[in-house]
Amino acid sequence: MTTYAAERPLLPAWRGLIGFNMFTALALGAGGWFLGAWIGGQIAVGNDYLIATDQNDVGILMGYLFGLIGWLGGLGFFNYPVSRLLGRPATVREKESGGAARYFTLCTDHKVVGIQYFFGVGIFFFIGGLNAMLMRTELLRPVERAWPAGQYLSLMSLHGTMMIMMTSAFILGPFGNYFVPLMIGARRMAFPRIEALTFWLVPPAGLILLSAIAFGGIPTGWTGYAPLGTEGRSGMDAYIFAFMLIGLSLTLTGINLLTTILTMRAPGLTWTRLPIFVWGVLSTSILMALAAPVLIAALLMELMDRAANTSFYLTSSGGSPYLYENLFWFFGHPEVYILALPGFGIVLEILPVFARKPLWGYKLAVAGMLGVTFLSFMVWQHHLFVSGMNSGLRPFYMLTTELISIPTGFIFLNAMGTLWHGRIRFTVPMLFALAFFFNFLIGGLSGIFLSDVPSDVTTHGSYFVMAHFHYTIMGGLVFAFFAAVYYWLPKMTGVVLNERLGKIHFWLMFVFFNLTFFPLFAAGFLDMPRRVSTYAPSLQTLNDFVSASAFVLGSSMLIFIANLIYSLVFARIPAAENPWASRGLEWQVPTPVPLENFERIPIVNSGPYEYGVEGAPPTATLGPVAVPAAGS
Amino acid sequence: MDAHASTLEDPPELLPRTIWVGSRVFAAGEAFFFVPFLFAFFYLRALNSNGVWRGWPHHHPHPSRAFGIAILICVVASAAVLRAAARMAGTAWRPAAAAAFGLGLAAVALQCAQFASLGFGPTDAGYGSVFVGWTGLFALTAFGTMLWLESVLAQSLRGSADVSYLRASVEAVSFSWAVLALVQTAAFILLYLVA
Repeated sequence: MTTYAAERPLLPAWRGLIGFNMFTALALGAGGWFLGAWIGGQIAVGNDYLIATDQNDVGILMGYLFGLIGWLGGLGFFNYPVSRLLGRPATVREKESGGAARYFTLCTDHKVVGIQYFFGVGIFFFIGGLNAMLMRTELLRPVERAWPAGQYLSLMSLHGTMMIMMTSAFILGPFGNYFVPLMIGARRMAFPRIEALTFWLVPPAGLILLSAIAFGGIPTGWTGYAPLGTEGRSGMDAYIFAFMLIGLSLTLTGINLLTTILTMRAPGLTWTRLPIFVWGVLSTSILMALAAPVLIAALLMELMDRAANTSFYLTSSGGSPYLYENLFWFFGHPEVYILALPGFGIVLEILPVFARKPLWGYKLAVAGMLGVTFLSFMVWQHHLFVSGMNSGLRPFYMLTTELISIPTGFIFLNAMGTLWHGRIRFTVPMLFALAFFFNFLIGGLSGIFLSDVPSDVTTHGSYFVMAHFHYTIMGGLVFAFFAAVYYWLPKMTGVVLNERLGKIHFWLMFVFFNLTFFPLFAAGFLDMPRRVSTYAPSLQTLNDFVSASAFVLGSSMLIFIANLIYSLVFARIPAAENPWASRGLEWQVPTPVPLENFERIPIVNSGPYEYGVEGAPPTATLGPVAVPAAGS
Repeated sequence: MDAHASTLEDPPELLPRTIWVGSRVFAAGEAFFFVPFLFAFFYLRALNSNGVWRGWPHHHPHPSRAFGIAILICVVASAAVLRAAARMAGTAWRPAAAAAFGLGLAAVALQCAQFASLGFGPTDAGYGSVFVGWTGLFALTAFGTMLWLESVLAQSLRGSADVSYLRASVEAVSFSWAVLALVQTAAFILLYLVA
């Protein structure tokens, strides 16, 4: 059987604009939206329930559905399934050659998908960050000033939802897709079209979420809690649909990465030689494949409550909003580790390279990650300690939540052991990796207060919680993300990022991140509630300080963007093939990485962290290998 | 040492292996998709909010058990036949897979027919919501699985795929469909017998 599509001749750049690509997808998506909204309007005409309300949720949801179908159709995602239904041969690759046009269409090259993710998710992450700046502007004064309370709430919800949606794809999208096949010695992902689909679901999700502004906003925060979620204006339809798309993308990413790692490792790449980042991806993929479908189902129930008048979450007609809270957090807490585990993987991947020592306690690190994966499904009710849950259940969830600090602690042990007596090089990636541990430690220690019922009762719903999760997600994941950017971007783009600008970015970000979020623990202890645009006048000085710090923190991102543009567009200093002298398999291939990754499937000889180990063989044999004759 | 290590092509067993593993992970994801409905059933039934879990005071939904049994038989029989087909040698699996395909589509058609004459709807309190949500999404998932099976059958009939790929594909569909048959069995027990 032929598993490879025929190579297409290289076409001129303008030719790439015609056919199945992002521009066609935008046109068909917009057309689909109007068609769907019209059909939804026709459905509503005959429905007493929908006529009785002043908003047509069916029309809006049908608009999103048809818009999505148009978008995917415009990109060419239906061509292959239709050809399969007609019995045509299966292929695994599509549009992998075609110059820059590949980045604007369905391309099955995992390296193209990784770069698509990097820029696509980056744009929405930037928008989410701008929302935060607008929120801090409002909080410069204790009274309502820049934004009315409802608009502030929508702004906050957009910020939270956008950030959670995008940070879920933040590491596995660009770096998981780009580097996992390279690190395991594979030429592609297991299901390349599904890989492409996972990215192309992200832009419509982001745009649909932003469209909530036009439909009355989102009053619920990122959690979408019922009954507010079922009763809110049509902006909630945008929230539900967008989050479902991200849930689908996460599920498919999990399935794809898990299958890739389980089946496509190069000969010799045993489980004990697997790079620790790949272990992080593996653990995350398990969570994504199992937890994200629960989110999709929970949101579908909310969608049906809104559009079909079911009563999953309506107490008056036999439902319960607590059902949503339970289902949401069954996904939501593993989601926290979907964000954290790839971060663990990245920093542990980077530390040995810049400490020039083997990773200390490799098996302990793996056990820690798998332990977190397992326990994360057993802690979700700690989010409901003060929501009227059965008090007899509290001790169990308190215990499981505190237990999870043990495998998390393993990761810190690995880091300390690796750094001990190391020859540390303070490069930009290393600085971000070290900052990860500083921030995550504060995030983790403050989490103990929230896992403990008596202290959670006093801090729940306050800025203490907000400071805690920003320390874990921004202080952890986002710092790990930037560590990965500075570490791997030379391999991805073939050019070196400016070191001086990188260090300015790091120090501004690190200092002002802490100046922004550490005072918010105090604000929480002083009873400043989350999600409210007004606060006690006595807290104004504290809030002004936080806002000023947040603005500098936001500006540090501009320095990163300036560095990116300067280095990629103007300076374009070519990167060496292995600028960090890393033993990782991904650094043993040429830059730019060839289409097939490896000329021949490599044979892995040793682990990737044997720095300073005398007599350690090269990580892999990449050239031709003499195969012993049969019987020899 | 692996002889394929020095070749330019993927090892021939790679694609069947990825299909086999991928189908297991996919089936696990599918099963977790239906877990919220299982949870909703027990949770809402236990809470019985406002005393209307089972329906409004003078309107208790009672779906036709005959339809339920017929749908269950079609799904379970289809899954069993397809699992057996996946173990058959040569091209003998094709008639069995076609029969499974027919039974699967019949289950979807029966579910649609049941909706058309249900006597209650999604607005009929907790039970009605869980019933329509669970069975409706199951029918959609079942239809998707039948399309997957159809694509494998079509490839086999056109001779456009090699044997190892086809065998792996049939086995993968059959596994996924078997997991869905377990979901449908649970749905029948809960929605028709326990509720």
